Amino acid sequence: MIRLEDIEVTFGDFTALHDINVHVKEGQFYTFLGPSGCGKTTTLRTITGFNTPSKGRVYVKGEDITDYPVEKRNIGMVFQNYALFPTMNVYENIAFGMRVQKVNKAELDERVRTMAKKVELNDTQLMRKVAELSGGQQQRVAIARALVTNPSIICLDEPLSNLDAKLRVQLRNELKEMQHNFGITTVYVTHDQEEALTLSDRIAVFNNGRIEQIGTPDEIYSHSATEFVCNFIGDINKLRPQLIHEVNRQSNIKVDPDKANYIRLEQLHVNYKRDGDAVSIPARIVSREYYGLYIKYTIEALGQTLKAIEKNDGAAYFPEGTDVNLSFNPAAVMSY
Amino acid sequence: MKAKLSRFWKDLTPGRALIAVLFVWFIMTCIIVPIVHLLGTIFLADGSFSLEPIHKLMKSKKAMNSLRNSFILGPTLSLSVGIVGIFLVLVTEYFDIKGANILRLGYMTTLLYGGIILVSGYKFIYGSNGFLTNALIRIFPSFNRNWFQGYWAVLFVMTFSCTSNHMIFLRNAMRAVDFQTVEAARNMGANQWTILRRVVLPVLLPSLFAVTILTFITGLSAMSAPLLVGGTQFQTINPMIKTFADSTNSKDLAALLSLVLGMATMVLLYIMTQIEKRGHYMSVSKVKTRIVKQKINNPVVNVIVHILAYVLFAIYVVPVVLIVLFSFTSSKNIATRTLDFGSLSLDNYRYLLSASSNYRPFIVSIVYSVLAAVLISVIIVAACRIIQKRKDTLVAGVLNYSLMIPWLLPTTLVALALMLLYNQHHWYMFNRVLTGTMIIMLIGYVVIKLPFSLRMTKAAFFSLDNALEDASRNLGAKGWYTFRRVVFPAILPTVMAVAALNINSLLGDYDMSAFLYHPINPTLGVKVRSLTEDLTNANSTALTFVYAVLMMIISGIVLFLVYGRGSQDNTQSK
Amino acid sequence: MKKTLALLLAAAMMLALCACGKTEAPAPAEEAPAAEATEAAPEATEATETLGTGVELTVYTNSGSSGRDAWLTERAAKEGFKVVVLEDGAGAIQQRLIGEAANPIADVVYGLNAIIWNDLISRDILVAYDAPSWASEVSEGLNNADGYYYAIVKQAIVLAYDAAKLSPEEAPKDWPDLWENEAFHGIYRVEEKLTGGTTRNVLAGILCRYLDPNGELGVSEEGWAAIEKFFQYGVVAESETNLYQEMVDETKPTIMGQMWSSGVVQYDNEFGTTSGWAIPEVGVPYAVEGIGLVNGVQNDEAKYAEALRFIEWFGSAEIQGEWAEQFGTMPANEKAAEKADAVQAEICSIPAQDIDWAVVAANIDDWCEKITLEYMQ
Repeated sequence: MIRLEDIEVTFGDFTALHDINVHVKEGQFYTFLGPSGCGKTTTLRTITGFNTPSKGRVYVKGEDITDYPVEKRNIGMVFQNYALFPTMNVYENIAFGMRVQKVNKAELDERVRTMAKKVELNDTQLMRKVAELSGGQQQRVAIARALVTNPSIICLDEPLSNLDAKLRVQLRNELKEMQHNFGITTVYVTHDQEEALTLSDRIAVFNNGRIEQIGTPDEIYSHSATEFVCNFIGDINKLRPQLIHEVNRQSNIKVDPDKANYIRLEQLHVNYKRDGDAVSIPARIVSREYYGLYIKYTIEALGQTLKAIEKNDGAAYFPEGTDVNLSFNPAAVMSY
Repeated sequence: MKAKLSRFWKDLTPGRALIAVLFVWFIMTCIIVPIVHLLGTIFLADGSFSLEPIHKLMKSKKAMNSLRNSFILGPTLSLSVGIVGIFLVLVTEYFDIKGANILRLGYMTTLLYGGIILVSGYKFIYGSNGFLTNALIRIFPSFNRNWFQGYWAVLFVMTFSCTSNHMIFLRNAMRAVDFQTVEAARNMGANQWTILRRVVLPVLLPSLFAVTILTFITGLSAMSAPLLVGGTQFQTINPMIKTFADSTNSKDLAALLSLVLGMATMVLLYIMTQIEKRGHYMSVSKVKTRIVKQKINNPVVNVIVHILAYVLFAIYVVPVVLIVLFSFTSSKNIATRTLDFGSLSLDNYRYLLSASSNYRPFIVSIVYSVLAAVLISVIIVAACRIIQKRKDTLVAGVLNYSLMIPWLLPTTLVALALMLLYNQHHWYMFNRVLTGTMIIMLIGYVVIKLPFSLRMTKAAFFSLDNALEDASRNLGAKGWYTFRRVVFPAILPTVMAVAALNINSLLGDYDMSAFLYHPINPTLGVKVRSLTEDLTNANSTALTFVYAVLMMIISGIVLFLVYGRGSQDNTQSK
Repeated sequence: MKKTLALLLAAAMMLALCACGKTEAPAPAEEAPAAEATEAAPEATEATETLGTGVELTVYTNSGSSGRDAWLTERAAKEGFKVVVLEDGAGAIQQRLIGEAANPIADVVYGLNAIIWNDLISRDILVAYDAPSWASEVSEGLNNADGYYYAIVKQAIVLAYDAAKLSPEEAPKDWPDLWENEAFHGIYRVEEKLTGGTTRNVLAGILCRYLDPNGELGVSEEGWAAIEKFFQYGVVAESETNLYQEMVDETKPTIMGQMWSSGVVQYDNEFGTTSGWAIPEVGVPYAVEGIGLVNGVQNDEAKYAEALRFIEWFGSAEIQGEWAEQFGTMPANEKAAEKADAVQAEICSIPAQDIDWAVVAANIDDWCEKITLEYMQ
C-alpha cells in the first residue's frame, strides 16, 4: 500500500531522515514509535506530502507520488492538536473536504451525518463551534473529518498526546475499533510505547532520523534488535558483569560479559523452582509496589539493584528484607 | 545552487509572476521612487550634497531640545500608557468591577476621536481657562492658571489618548488567557497578585511588547499634544518637522529631522521583530475555559480600584460629553466655557446641512478612507501571506522593510514626494500625470497607512496555527481555497480592526489632503481647517465642534460594524 | 499553488484602482455642478448657455473661505464663467503650485501676498500678461512691474492693540518699540509658526530695515539682534487661537500683536473690542492680493482667452466693490475703495512701507528657518 524507499529529508544543513525504508500493507495498523525529534513525524509528513524528500521515493498502491502536492494525495490525516478550523462549526469542519471536491449538497449532508453517527457525534454537537467541544469530541471530529472523504490511508500524528490518561486509554480502544471497522490502512505516530504495542500490527522504532527496528509488537518487545529499542520499549534491567559471571558459572547458556546485557522485569522470578537452564541467585527484597494486577519488587542481588514483577495470584507476597532466590533463564537475556 | 534555481523556476507560476510584478511595481512607483526622488531634490538641491543642514540643526538649541524632548517622551509615554492600558484591560476584562461594561465603553472613546480634537477637548477642561482650572481657582485663588502646560500636560493627554491600541490588541490577548491556568495557580496557593504577575501578565507579554513599541513610536512622533499643551518649554520634534516641511526652502531640515525619527522607529521595529521571532506564548491546552472575572479579595484594594476605574472613566468621557454638548451652543459660549442648557439649539447642525459644500466633504472623506482602507487590506494581506510563506527569505525581508519605508518620512513629505514625481509623465506610471487626478490622494492615503497596517496584520498571521493550513491541504484544498476558507476567516477580525482604525484616522486627515485633494472634492480635514480660519462666520468654532461630533459618529458606526458584530461572534464561540 | 490567489488579488487591486480612476472620478464630477447649481440662482445656469464660452477655469486661492469661494462661483456664473475654486492656506497653495509646475492644474490664481507672488515668479510658475483695463486704477506700486500679477485687494499689516487698555499715547508707535520699551515686554504676541503670510510680512517689515549685503543672509547683526529681542520679549501665541481671543481673555497678558486690516474690522465686530493700531513713520507692509495666470494656460487658446476675460471681470471696480461690501476687504482698485469699510479704509490710508519684495521673497524662507532654529523659544 505505502512504500517508502531510501527516503532522506533535509532541513537546511540538518538531515532529519536517513535512508528510511518502510512498507505498509493494506489494512495494516502501522506505528512509527520513538522519542521526540527522532523523525517519526517527519516521515509521516513525507507520506502526506508536507515534506519533500531530498532523496528517495514515496509509492502508494505502486504509484510514485513523491512529487504530488499535498492536496492531490487523498491521504487522511489527524493532527496532534486536531487543527480543527476555529471559524467553522463541527458540521462544516467535517464537510470541508467534500466541499473542496464539490460533492453535491444532498450527498454531502448524508455523508456528514453518517460519519458523525459512526464517531458518535449527535446533531446538536454538529452545529456547535469546535471550541465548545471537549477533547474527546474534538478528536472524533478530527477523525471524522479525515475519514469522510474515503481516503485509502489515514495518518494520525500523536492524536492522544494531549489527553488525560483515562481518556487516552478509552480513545485508544475506540481508535482501534474504528480502524477495525473501517478496515483502513493506518499510519500512527506516537512516543508512547504502550500505545504502540497495544494498537499496532507493525511498529517501526525511530531514533535520530533512522529506523532502528521494524517488526510486530512482540518482536519489538521480546527481541529488540538494538540496545536503543530494548531500552525504549518497556522497563528493563541492565545486568552487571558480576551477575553475568554467576550466570555463566551456573548455566550452559553463556552470556557475553563484554556486551551490554538486559533482561525484562517479567523474566525474573522470585523463589521459583529452578527448572532447565534457569540460574538461581541469592537475593534480598528491598521494597515492593503493589499494583493489584501484579507486584513489582525491587531486589538486591550481588550488589546490584534489579526490578522484578510477579503476577498477583493470591499467594502471600514477600515482605521487605526477605532473603529470596532470584531465578531466570539466561536465554531471555538480550545482549548488544 | 542549480537545484535551487530549478526550484525557483518551477515555483514561478504565471500567477506568482504577476503578483511579484505587481508588488515590485507598487513598491517602486508608489514608495521608493517618489521618496528617493524627493530626498534627491531636497539634499542635492545645488547639485551636490552638503552637510549644511546638519550644522544648522546642531547649532539650534531649539532643535536639539525638541529632539531631546521627543526621546524623553517616547519611553516615559510607553511606561505611563503601559500602566494605564494594563489597568484598563484588567478592570474591564479580568477583575470583577461593577459596571465594567459601561466603563469599557468609556475607555473605548479614544477610538472615536484623536489628534487635534482630542487634545482640544482636554484643553477645554484643563487649559488655562478650562472647566477644571476655573473650578480650582474658585477654591484656591492663587492656583496657577497655566498649570496644564509642558511635559506633564503632554504626558497626561497622550497617556489617555494612546490607550486605543491597548484596548483593542491587549484586550484580545487577555481574552485568550486560559482560565484553567489561573485556577491551577490558585490551587497551588498563589494569591491574586502573584497570579496576575506570574500567570496572566506573561501571557499578555507579546501583545504588550507590540503595543508598547507602537506607543514609543507615537511618543517620538507626537504632534498635536505638544503643540497645544506643550507650551514653550516642551516642544517635540514633529511640530518642528511640520513647520519646516511646510516652508518651501527648509525641506532639507524637515527631511533630516524625520530621518532621525525614522531611524529610531526602524530600530524599535527591528527590536520588535526580534522579540516576535522568539515566539509567542501559545496556550497549550486543548480545552480552554473562558476567564471568569476575579473579585478582588482585599476590600481596601477593591474600593481603591473601583474609585480609580471611575476616575479614569471620567477623564475619558468628560471631554467627549463636553464636545457634544458644546456643539449645540454658539462660539461665544465655547469661548467663555459657559454652558446654558436653555440656549442649546440645533442651529449649527441645520447650518451644516443647509449647503452641500458643508456636508459634501464628509462623503468625499468617507469614500476615500473606505477605498484606501480596502486597498490597504488587500495589499497588506497579500504581503503578509508572502512574508508568512517565505519566512526568513530575502523576499520576505525586502517586502517587509519596503512597506515600512513610509514611516521614515512625515505625511507632508510623502505627499510632496508623490506630487513632485507624478506631475510629469513617467513610463512606469503608464505615462499618466497623476497630479490633479482623484487617484493620487488615494495612493497617498494607502502609502502612509501601510506600515501600521502591516505591523498589526502580520502579528495575526504569525499567531496562526500552521496545522490548520496543513489540515486543509490534506483534505484536498488548494492554496487559494485554503487561504479563502481557512486562513482568511481566522485573520479577518484583525484585518477588519486595522481597516476600521485606518478609516477613522484617514477621515480627518489634513496633511495629505492639503497637497493632493482634487479641487472639486475637498476633504473633511481641509474643510475643517478652512472653517477655523473663517472670520465672517461668528460660529466657526461651534461648527468645528459639530464636525468633530459627526466624525465621532462616523467612527462609531465604523467601529460598530467591525466590533459590534465581531464581539457577538466571540460570545457565541465561548 | 498561489496562482489563483495571486490572480484574484491582482484583479482586486486593479479593480480598486480602476474604480477610483474611472467610476470614482466622474461621479463627483457629475455631482459637483449639481451641488453648485443649488447655490447658484437658476437664471445663472441659463446665463451660462447664452453668455459663457463653456470653458472651465480652475482658480486657486487662499482667499476663498467664509463663503467667498461659493460667492465667487455663483457671481461668476452670472457672467457666464464656469469656475472651480480650490481654497487653502497661502502656503499650501504655494506648495501645490510648485508641485504641479510641470503639469499645472490651476489656470488662475488670486490672493496670496507679494512674497509668495515673487517666489512664484522666480520659479517660473506664472506667466506675464497684458495689463487688464482696471490695472491703471490700482493704487500705485501694488501691481507687479513686469505684468505677472495685478493687485485686487490690499491689506495693511499693522500692530494692533486693545484700545481699552492702552491710549494712543501709551501705545507703541512702531514695531521696534515693542522690544526697546520695557513697558511692552510680555504683553505682545509673537506667532509660534512663521509660515503664515501676515507673520512673514511683519518679519519682512522689520528685517528690511537692516538689510546688509555682508550680513548673514543679507541682514546686519543689528537686525538679528533686534529679531532676537522681538521674540525674546513676546508672548508665544497659543496654538489654534487668534490675537483677539487672547486679547479678550482676561487670564492672558497679551493685548497687542500683528493683524491684517480687514481682520481688525472683523474681529472688533466679533469680539466687541475696539482696536488701535500703530502708525509707524516708515509706513506699514501691505499684503497685496493679486491675480495672476499660471504658466501653461497660454498654451490653450480657449482657456487663455477665458482666463483673461475672467481677470478683466474679477478685478474690475464693480466686482471688487461688491467683494469689498460682501467680505469687508480693501480694494486695491481706487475706484472701488469707497465701498470698503470706513475703519478699514482708515487703516489702509497708512502709507506703504518701502520694501524690496524681490529681496524678501528670495530670503524669507532662510530668514524664517534661522529664526525658528535660533531665536524662537
